[in-house]
Amino acid sequence: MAGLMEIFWTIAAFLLTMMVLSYLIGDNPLFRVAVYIFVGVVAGYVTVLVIYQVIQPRIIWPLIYGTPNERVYALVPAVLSILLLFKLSGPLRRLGNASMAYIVGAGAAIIIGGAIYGTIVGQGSAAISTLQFQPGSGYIGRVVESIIIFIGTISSLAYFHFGTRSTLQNNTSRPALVEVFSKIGQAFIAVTLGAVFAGVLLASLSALIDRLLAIIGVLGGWK
Amino acid sequence: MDESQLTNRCPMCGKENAPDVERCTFCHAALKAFNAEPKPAETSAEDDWLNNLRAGNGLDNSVKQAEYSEEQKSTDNLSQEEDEDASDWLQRIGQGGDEDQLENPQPSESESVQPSGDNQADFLSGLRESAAIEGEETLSEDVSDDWLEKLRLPTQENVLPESADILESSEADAAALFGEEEDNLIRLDSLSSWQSRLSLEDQEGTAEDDTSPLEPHSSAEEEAEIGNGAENTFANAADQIPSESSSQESMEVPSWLEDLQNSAFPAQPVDFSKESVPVPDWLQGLVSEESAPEQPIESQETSQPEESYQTEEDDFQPDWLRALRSDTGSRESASALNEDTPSDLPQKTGNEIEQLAEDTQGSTFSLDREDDLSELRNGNAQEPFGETELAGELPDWLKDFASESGQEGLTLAGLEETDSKLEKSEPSEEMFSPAESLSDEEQPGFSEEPSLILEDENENAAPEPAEILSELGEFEYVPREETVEQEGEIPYWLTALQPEEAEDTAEAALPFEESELPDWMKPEPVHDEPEIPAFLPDFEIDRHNSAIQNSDTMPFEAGELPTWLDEVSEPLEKTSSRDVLNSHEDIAPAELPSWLKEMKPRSAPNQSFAELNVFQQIGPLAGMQEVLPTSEQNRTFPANLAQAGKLLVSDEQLKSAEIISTLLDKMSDSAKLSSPGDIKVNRWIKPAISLILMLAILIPLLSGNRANAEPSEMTGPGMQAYSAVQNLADDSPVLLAFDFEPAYSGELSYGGKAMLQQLLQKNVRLVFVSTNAAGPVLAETFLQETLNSLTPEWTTEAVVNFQMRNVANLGYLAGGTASLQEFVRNPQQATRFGLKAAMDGVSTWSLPALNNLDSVDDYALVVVLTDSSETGRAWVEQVQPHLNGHPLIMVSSSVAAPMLMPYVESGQIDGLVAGMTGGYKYQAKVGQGNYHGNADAALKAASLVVILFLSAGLIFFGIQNRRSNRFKE
Repeated sequence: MAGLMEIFWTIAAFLLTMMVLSYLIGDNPLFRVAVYIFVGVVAGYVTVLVIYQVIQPRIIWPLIYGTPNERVYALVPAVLSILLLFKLSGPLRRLGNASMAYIVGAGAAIIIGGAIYGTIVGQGSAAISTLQFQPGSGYIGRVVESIIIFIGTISSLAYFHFGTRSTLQNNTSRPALVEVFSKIGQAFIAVTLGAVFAGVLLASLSALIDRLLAIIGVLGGWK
Repeated sequence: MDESQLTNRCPMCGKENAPDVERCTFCHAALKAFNAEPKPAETSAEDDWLNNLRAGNGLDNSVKQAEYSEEQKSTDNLSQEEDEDASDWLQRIGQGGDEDQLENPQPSESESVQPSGDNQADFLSGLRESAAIEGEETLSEDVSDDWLEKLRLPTQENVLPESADILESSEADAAALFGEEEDNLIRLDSLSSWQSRLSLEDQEGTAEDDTSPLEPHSSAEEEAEIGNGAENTFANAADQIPSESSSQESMEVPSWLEDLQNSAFPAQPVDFSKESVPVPDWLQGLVSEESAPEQPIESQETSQPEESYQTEEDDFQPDWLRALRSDTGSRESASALNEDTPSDLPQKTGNEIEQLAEDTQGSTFSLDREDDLSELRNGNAQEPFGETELAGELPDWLKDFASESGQEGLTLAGLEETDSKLEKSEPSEEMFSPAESLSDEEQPGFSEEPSLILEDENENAAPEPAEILSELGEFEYVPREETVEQEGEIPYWLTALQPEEAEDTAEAALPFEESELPDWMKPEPVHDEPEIPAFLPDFEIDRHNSAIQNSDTMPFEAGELPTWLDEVSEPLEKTSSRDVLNSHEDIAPAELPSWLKEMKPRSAPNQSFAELNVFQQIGPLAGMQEVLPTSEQNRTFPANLAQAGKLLVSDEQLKSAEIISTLLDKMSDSAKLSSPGDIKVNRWIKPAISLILMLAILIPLLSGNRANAEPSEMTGPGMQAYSAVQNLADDSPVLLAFDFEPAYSGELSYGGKAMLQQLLQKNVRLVFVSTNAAGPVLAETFLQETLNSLTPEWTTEAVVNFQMRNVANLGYLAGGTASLQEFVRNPQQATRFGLKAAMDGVSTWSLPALNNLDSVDDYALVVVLTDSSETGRAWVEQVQPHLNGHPLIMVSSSVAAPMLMPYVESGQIDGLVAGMTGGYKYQAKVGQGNYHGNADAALKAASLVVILFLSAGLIFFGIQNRRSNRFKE
């Protein structure tokens, strides 16, 4: 039974993979059917998951079976959720602003706090730590790396600095130092984006290879 | 004695006034003038206003009388008292006239007016009511007034020569009788009302009674018979009118009559007999159609003896008249009268005249009630009442009217007489013998004036034409105005003379069916289209047409209308606004205002709109000519709009404008469509690149077996990750976060499954959580596949036991980054109901794998499988600081690896397995033995091909940009 189910799912995966790969010859119904299937399955799955893992255990059950404190705690997200639904209607959409404000405010606070303590402080301290004089192997390399990281950080920030001062000559160009660092920062940013693009490309190739391996395994029994 | 005389009734409003009052207290009409002349005791107030007419106020008073009568006519719901008043004054007219006569051989003629005054034919009254309802009464009466006023003077004159003919050809009494009949002609229109009623009764009377109607004591049947005769008389007289006119074509018109004629018919031809003179259509039809029966009738009058004439005439006589003639054929007076009477006169009328002549024998006949007529006759003794001189001097058209009026006068005399008989028959038969029933004082006073008239005829010289005209107007104008306008009825012989614009009204008043009418009197189709001003817009024109159509609708049902009314009630032909515009020749061109003329375009100097016949077709100026036509006008604008004006700009503004212009040019360049060559390249380049990539992947996969090849040694973050896992103790809780999309499962499966296998081998407790909805399922899939990969080392029982004891799936953390914060602070609250609890009802936190796991720092290792740098960073930022030194390693895709490397370098992430390559190495490090060298080779080959394509693209577009820059330079 398990074998049949595995074969069934293997064939289903193979067909869906071929349907998606058919996009190479252009947009066609097979590709659209495969996309619709994925979207539908994901939507259905997410809906069921949200009902069983979010709405039911976090709102309904506490309101019904919970203690008074749990009910009060459950009532707040319930009200905010209901108000959030008014965003779908035109005249009453303003009622959902409170929920949206809470979501955005809480999310922003969490992200900013995590960014400060997790990224800025963490990355800053790491950059500073590289400058600490600790004799040993690879010291010069670490110093150079730290210098590159420092220059890269400064130059990247300089690239996104667009402030100028008004002069008598009406020269709107940025200061020369800022202009130089912006050019350096542009190179760092290009390398970073190239690396990201390369990662995207590799991820795509990995997915393609995985699917081709699956097809070959189904067709040739080789896996 | 009339009551009105005692109470001094106002002839204008009919209200009673005190006897000594000179003016009416109600309408302020002059009462003294009517009572100034000494009159017989029985002279009515109506005679007073007639006398007032003689004094020179005839015209005005007649108009007032007409208004007064019109009020009585239009208000059908007047009280009976008012109706009686209306009939009283008419009776008084008759009585007053009779008082002037010494002996009246006829029954009281004043009573003959009574039925015409208060009784209207039903259908005519209905017509009148409907007309009053629709407000058309005024219109019709006005129309009839116009043409009647034109005809009034000539008709009055016509009566005079006709009377002269009659007097010439008959005895003096008969002439007086005719004069009386002429007076009755004045009330001709009033006869039409009771005429129809009499006609109905006559159908019975004609069949039953053959006795002569000339007897004074006639019965009701005789009266009905007379009524029928009157009806036939009207028809026959109408038929014979043209014959009379044609018989006198060669007559010359005297100067004073020409004046009359011109004044009466300023736009009409003077002489109908002259073909050179333009004749109106309605008269042309009248003359032409009647020219045919003219000859035999005239010949009968002139050449044929009496018997033959009568024999010929019998053909036109109805049966009842033949029977009547047979009974009364011996009467010479009647035959003599018939001889003098035109051949076309109905014999019944002749018989009536005979009766009148007999009744008036021995008595002096006078023109009843109308003193002016007698005066007129006195004044015109030589001319109108002379021999045939007047007839010879009369013009043709006047002869027509004269003969017609004379016949009508004869006919109406008999008709009114019969009418009076009819009215008097019911109470007593004495009514028909007034000479016997009435005393000398009470008898109508007709006796004096006729004798005077006849005496004055020889004494008085011929008056001036102006005097004749005035006297004629005074004579006949008042009663005619009164009767015609009061009754709203127009005699059919006047309808024939009626102009076309009043034709509808005349036809509507005809009491005859069309079948009874002669051909020349049949109504012609109405073609008078309303004249619509040219400047009216479309909606006004349409409304005007619709109003005309609505006005044509009669308030009767279709079945109720007689045939001749059906024809009259036919709606006019529809005239749309477009038709009106098309037929602009008939539209008076509107005159443009000066301001509009100034707006006329000057771009077409050669040909104006007037020459082009350009009309505005739409808008409020529709129908107007020489208006700017929106459709035809050429819309020409200046070639260079920049010449219209120049802006005063500074140099800086010009530079800014140039910059904007350059940007816009670039945008337009980028927005240009691809050339056909580019389209062809794009068609094949995408499949070509895809094919190349596929080949680059398939060839390494299918060429050789590299499964057993040794991968490169794993170093760096991957090795740190391996070490972190390898350092875990048994039964250590490990938190695995599956935060990636299913699409990246293929890439992450290598490193993730290898690490999971390592963890299984370490016999640790696995707790799965995910901020992605698909994460919990992916975790289950990864675990199941990993467990399957451990077989046969792991038995099924061992797998189940491991799952039951060491595995807990906390499920989905809703809220993204915020959920991680919650999870860090209170894991049990954030993941109160795990995936198992939601699906199986099992309490999540009761699982053995979650024992003593109250916070995140209780986990010995946190492994994050992510495909996104943001998700990895979130775990670093939100969770890693709270791990309290416990390692955080990541298995990421190649996309997220570059962004996560700084955190690896900073030590925030303790290990990283990046992408497929890192996964292969990790597998090899773990020693699972399922290393896919072919896949690694395929990835490298595909990466190389991609690099080549990118390099080629950089070179190609670099060269292209360089060329474009050179070209621009």
